[in-house]
Amino acid sequence: MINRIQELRKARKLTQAEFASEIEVTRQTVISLEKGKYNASLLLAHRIAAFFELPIEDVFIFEKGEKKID
Amino acid sequence: MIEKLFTAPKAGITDEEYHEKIKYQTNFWTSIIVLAVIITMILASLQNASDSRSFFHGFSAGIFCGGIGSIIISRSLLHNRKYLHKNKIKATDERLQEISHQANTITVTMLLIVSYIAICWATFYWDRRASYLYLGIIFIYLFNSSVRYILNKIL
Repeated sequence: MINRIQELRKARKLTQAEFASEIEVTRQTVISLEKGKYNASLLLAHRIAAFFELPIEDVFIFEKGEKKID
Repeated sequence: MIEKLFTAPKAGITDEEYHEKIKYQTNFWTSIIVLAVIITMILASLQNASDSRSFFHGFSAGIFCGGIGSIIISRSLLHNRKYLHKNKIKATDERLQEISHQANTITVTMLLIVSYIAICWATFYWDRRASYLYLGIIFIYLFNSSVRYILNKIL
């Protein structure tokens, strides 16, 4: 799964620390999320999407080969 | 009670809910420390031999000093909202919780491996102390199963 967190955060001119504070996680977690090392839980994904005022699927994108439940 | 005391705070809780949880934990440990001091003082007064009496006095004084220190620190931090908010973020961060969970699992697995090696060594030399290790490992497995069962019911 890839995400657009870095792109959306930069578009809003936020630092990683500011964004981390907004979604109530540590800066290291934001770094891991942006690098794709860590996949957010449904709750965190929802919180991030709500912060950007976008649907979850516009922030977190399933890659080909990943099982998608219809 | 177990959930309030031993489980990690859930992600998305408010500062107020986190404050309540920490307050509950601080009160619980304060009562445990007070109880431990009283029990060791009673045990010290019941001892006839002077060396065991002084051991219990020292033990009680250690718990008292350490306990008072940690109670004062935790109670003063309880009123520091900025510190609590920072601490809440660290405690509810799901990635840190996962890291901590994985580290604990690896540590317990390593401990069990070391215990198995010690059992093999002790059994080879037919050391009577090996039986204590067997009991220790059985206890760990039983404890693990009970905790899983309880958490499965609670969460």
